[in-house]
Amino acid sequence: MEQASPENAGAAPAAEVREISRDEIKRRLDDPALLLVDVLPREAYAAEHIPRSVNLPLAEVEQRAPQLLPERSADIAAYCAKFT
Amino acid sequence: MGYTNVRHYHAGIADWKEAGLPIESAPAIVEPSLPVEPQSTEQSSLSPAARTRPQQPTISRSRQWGNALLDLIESLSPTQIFFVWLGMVVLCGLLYWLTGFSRRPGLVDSGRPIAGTLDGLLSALYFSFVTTTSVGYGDVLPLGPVRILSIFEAVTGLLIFGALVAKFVSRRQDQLVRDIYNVTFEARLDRVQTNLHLVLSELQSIAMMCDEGVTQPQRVGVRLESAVLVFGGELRAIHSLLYSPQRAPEEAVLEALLIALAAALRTLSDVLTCLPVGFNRAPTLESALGNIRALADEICAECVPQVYAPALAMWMDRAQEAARKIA
Repeated sequence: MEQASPENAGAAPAAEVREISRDEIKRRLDDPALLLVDVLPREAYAAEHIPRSVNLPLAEVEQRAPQLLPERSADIAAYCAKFT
Repeated sequence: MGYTNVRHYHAGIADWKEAGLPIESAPAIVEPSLPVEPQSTEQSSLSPAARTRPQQPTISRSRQWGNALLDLIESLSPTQIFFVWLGMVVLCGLLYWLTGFSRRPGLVDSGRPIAGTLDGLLSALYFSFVTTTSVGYGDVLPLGPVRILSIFEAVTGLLIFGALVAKFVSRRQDQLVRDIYNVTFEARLDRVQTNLHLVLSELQSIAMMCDEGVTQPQRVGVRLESAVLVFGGELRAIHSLLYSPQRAPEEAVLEALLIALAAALRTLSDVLTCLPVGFNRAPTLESALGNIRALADEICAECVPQVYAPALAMWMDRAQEAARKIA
């Protein structure tokens, strides 16, 4: 993780995680190469999630990511409720 | 964590719904959460795609039987297995002996048929042991249908004996694995506690700096950021401790953790409100704070899966309350 120095504090978030657009997800909804990951808690996932996505609550990422997403180079799209 | 190709769908599921795109709802796939506790996890190596697919109920019958047998052996203690073995040997011995009452005795000892007498019973039991241990001296011989029974006995005896040996070996191994797990668990718990107190004292000294009027916002920012990052990690550990208590810590230990957690959260929200209006928060600080809020919000007496003692429940609620004040 990039340690933000005070100088660039307040600047735009470091672009270490690229963005994926809604259209791309929509287009590749049937593409098994794109792994959709729902990082919301279990209850939220149970209520609604994008089809074909797997649930990996943020709190459990460290423990379960290796199990759930064994491929480090896989094409992964993560989403939550709304990025804040 | 080494993932190279992760992209974030910033607008999230809210935007997805707004666009009128399809939504699915289903209970989350419940999977064992915390690591460690050694158990056979046949599925853990499957790819995510294979995981989400519903389990097909077409496991072959023989496989089911095999599993049932393994489960049975698993559930028996070594002593029980030994007695099962002994029972089988005696039972077969009795069956051999019973043939001695018929007109065609099933066993012959040096050419003479074994009759249904006390002597015959001893010989039959002797034959049974010799067969099942696959020693096979050959002084007593089976005849006719008894041959089938003796072969069956030999095979079953070997299998049960193998299970017994395996049981002893794996028992030792399980013990070792459990010991290792316990040691690491204790060590981890200690570390969480220490770190939490360090975070707390760091936050308190930042709060003091802040109360005296921040003269160097940059230095405060850096200190606050590293404290918050460490705090986030430890909070995650506590969260998973509460959510997947494979081995619950002692109540006193847990209480100490929760007290420190609530205090740290409260101090953190104090520090944040005390910072001057013009204080710029670095993105890393902001996202770490978001994590802390989200995790701590899930720590309360009602939301954790287990019921804890009232004292613990109260501290959990305090922690959640404090976390909600973090702006």
